Amino acid sequence: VSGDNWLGDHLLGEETESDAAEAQRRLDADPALRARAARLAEVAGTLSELSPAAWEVASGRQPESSAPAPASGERAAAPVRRRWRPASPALTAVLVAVALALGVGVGALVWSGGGGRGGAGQSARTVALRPLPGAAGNAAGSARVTPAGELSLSVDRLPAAGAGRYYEAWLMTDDRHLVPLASFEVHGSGSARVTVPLPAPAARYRYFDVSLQTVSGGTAHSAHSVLRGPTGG
Amino acid sequence: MPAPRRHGARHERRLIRALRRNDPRAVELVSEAYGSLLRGFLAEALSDRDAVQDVLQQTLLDVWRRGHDYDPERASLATWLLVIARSRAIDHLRRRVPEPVDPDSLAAFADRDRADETGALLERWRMTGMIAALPRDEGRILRLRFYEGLTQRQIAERTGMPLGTVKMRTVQALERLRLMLDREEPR
Repeated sequence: VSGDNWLGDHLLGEETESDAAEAQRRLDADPALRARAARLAEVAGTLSELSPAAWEVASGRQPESSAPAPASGERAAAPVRRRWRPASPALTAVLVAVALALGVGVGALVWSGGGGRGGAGQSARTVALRPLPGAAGNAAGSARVTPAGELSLSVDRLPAAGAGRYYEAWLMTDDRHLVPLASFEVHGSGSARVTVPLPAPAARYRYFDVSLQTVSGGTAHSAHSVLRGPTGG
Repeated sequence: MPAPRRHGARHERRLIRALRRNDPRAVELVSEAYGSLLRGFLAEALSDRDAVQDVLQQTLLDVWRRGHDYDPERASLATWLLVIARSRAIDHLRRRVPEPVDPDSLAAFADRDRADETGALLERWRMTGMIAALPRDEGRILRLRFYEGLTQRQIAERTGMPLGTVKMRTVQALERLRLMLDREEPR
């Protein structure tokens, strides 16, 4: 048996009786070789204990036992890489939680720079929307609730949404309390102006939020927020 | 342990940079590259499909929060992620167990058993992540040998590789896995 092949045969128990005796003789004569064989045997032992699901993952497949159940009403489809569509409900929730964790700081910053006014009537003023980490650094926006109960939203220096993507404005408190307001596109100018009736009082929510959505990603929040500011609610 | 071969070292470096910057995109990158590994580990650790989603969510959030602490010199990303998943799984299991009659004795035993079980499981899933990083042929040979139970001769017939090549790659794969394990600090 050439090279190290005899060692593989020995570790896997695939040797003839005479080869086994020869392997044992070599190991007995060489402590370093014996130690090496023992360490490889340990690896082989762990490999033989791996579950079918582990082998599926090791082969780059999704294990059946652990694959997330499809959301109700979701159609089975060929796997297509979608940049901003989270792969699982767990990921969606985490992305929104992360975005909100970051947004609390941004919101506080905007609020502290807004003149320090609080209380009733604050939604009538214009609030600044600031870029969130991961968005274009110089993007900016503002939101104002008009006396007629409409939201007047203005954004500047946002990158064009690109093919298959669009921006969405939201009223949002957390991943469970949010309401979509309007979809809009930003072309080469980087600017957009949107006026839309508010479906609920802005003060019931904590933030005005602008997210980048994909057309193929459904109507839920993509968890990719680009601008956010406090409603004062 | 290098990055899983289907993602590559460049993806891994990008992911680590994102983690260290606390970039929210890191969560998506981790989920994309290691979601199956974490989900598989948690499915075995928890045996509760609903809990897997919850604990995976907690794990990913924890990963994002602690991303700046990750040190590639100490452990591969897969191992670091599995250690966090293990902690969150133990927290979940601890919460699920009813109050023992004698907290000083029973709880200690229960905790120790749980830690032992999930520790052994973690070692197996660490290995899973390492197999994913092996050259494709070596990973395939190990799968055919240890999962499908074929002999090296049968693997040669199945794959069309010469028997000598199968034997050589089997030993190489075992050596490579051993080396990956040795490069990481003992858990």
